[in-house]
Amino acid sequence: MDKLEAVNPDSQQRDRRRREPGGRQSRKTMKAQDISLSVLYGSSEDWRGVLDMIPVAIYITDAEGRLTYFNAAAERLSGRKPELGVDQWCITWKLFLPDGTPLPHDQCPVAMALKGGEVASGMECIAERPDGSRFWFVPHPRVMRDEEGRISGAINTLVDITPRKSAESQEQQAEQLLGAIVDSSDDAIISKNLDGIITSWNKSAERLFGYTAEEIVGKRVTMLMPPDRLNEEPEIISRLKRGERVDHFETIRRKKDGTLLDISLTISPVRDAQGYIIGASKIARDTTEIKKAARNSRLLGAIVDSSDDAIISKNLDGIITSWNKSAERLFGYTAEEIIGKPVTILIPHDRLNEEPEIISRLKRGERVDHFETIRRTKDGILLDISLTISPVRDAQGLIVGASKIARDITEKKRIEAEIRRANADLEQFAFSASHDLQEPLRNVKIYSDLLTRRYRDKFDGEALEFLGYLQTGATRMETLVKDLLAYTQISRFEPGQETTDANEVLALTKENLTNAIRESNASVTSDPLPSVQMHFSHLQQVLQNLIGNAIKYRSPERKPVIHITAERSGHEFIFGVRDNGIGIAPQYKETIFGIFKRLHTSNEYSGSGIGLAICQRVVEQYKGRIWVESEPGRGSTFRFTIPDSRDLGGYSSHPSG
Amino acid sequence: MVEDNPADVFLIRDAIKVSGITAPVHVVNTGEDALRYFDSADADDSAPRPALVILDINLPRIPGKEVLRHLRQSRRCRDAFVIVASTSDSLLDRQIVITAGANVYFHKPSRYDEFMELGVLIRDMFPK
Repeated sequence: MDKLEAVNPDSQQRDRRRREPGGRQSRKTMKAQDISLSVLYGSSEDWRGVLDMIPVAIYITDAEGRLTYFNAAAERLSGRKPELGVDQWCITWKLFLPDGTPLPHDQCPVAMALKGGEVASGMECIAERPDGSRFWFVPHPRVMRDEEGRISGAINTLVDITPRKSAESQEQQAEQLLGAIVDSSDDAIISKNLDGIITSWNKSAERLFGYTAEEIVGKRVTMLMPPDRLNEEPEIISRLKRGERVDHFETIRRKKDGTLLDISLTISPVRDAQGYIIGASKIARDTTEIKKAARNSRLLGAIVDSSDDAIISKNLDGIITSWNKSAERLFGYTAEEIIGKPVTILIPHDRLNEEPEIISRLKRGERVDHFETIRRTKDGILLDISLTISPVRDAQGLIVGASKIARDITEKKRIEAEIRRANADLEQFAFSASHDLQEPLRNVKIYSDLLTRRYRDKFDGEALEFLGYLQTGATRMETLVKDLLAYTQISRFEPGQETTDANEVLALTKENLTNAIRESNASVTSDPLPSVQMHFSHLQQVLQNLIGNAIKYRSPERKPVIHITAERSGHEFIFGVRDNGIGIAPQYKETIFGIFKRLHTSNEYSGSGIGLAICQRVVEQYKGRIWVESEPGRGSTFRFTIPDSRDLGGYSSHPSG
Repeated sequence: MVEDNPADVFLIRDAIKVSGITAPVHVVNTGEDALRYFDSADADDSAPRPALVILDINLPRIPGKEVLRHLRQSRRCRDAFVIVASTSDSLLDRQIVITAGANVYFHKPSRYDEFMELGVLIRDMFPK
């Protein structure tokens, strides 16, 4: 092709213009081209025929870059029919650089060559055909000169490199994919040559061993081995050389920081294209956690077996899947006998309805805590047991079954019953004692009273003083006995379904306390109060004790102001009795509810110390709670709750006070 | 009067004195004596029978409630007016006693003045 620059095929240009009348090239430059080609090939028809047969795209331009000739391959490749004398510099439709930026035609290789610029040899370009398809090519532009050395035109051949390019990109993609797979693997993937030199190192290898690829590629693989394992390497290498694979070889390797790792190694020979073994790939998996988990699971197994509680697991079909030693002791079945059987084998007939409920709670992911029920042993004996059942999830978090911990509470139940009996006996005794004490006490009181009345004139001062002590003591004892009796009587009434209007209770309470309210000049007001399911006298006991206390423990500095509130909160009412009295120090907030607990001597404040214990007992009898909020010196608010199971119509609305 | 406690026998006598009633008062100290008294009244039409029975409910062995039941079955004594006197002030005890057939429930108070109100009660029952 170089030779073409030296010739000037003048005559062919005329000929060509005749064939392609659309051309507008100056005759002079075209003539020069024709001359050079005709010199080479004899006649113009000859070289045209030759060029058309060449499968490489070739075209020729004049000095200004206008197309003067193109061959059939050029037309095929460009996907269009170029116009002679019109198309300038290129036969392609659109041009791009390999990075995708458009290349204007006036900057194409031919244009650059004609303008005297250097054209890098082997430059790759992308062209787009009118139909949108693209091809890669390498242009080889050459300028042609006449006898005087002036540029007379250019000849360009386009070598289509599209097939090579697409192969390259597929290879590249495959390589990238492999690289990504290797890098994203949780296993360390390392390759080494037969000299034991590390040749590649993925991200997990970096994570696992602590060395970066930069640090370790090119170093000996033995640096990962603890000294006592160095003997493994020659053996591995010799097996590799025989073409053998080493599978899941469990060993120990050392991290950069010196820590030892339990790992599982899989080593495969790597062959070159000719099949010669040139190295090895190693896949190392950290088994430290697995080993630890195995140790843990052995430990857990031992714990489960040594537990005094029966520990059982079942799947969601209710089939028993595990059974520990205590389960065997408790229920009498061995693991062999019962694993695979339905758990209902343990449930007495009248309790079978519990299982679907338990299963449905498990499926919702709920735990069943300390559920007291009855189960049946192999011998048919019924046991009181407490069950705690938790859902068991697989690694994906799906509920696949349940673990049951069953504790034999037969003994606990027996003791509970005994305690209940003992309590009832004690209560009966306290009731009878306080009841029977009333009579002799009344006699003491009434006859000391009568003595004073009838014989006042016959007694001297000291005798009358003694009588006074007798009467005071008897009166105080009477209060104690009466309150104790009230306290023991609370549980003798079953909390009934009686509905009581708290407003009425308060009205009566205020009437009962008339003297105390008048003497203390107290103000007792209330919000509208609800109706509650409570024995009238029980609510009255509570309110009377709380309001009585509020008056009794008033501040000497101010007029007592007492206000009663009630609010609905969920399924209960919260009552409040607020005062502006002396208040209660925080450390006594619990003790004040104890029976006979008093914070003051009877000289300061009279009372039995049973009032709040009665309130607590009543409230607890109705499954409510009672507590105090107080600021010492400012006042207290006693609150108690009364559960309300009815759908309540609302508060009755007659505010009092 | 059926009363085992001599202190209360004294007070009840005082209260009757306060009521101004001068009829003879016969006192028995136990439930057994009370039943025997009713039986002998039933056996002999000429024997005295009570117009008013003041009954302590809390008696040893045979309780007041049993005495009351027996009284209401007695041929000659069943129409007697019955005041049950008790140390207990509980609603439950009151209900039990009234259901068993007493006419009035009297809570024995621990003040002399209040105890004498028993006399007023009796006078109101038997106005002369």
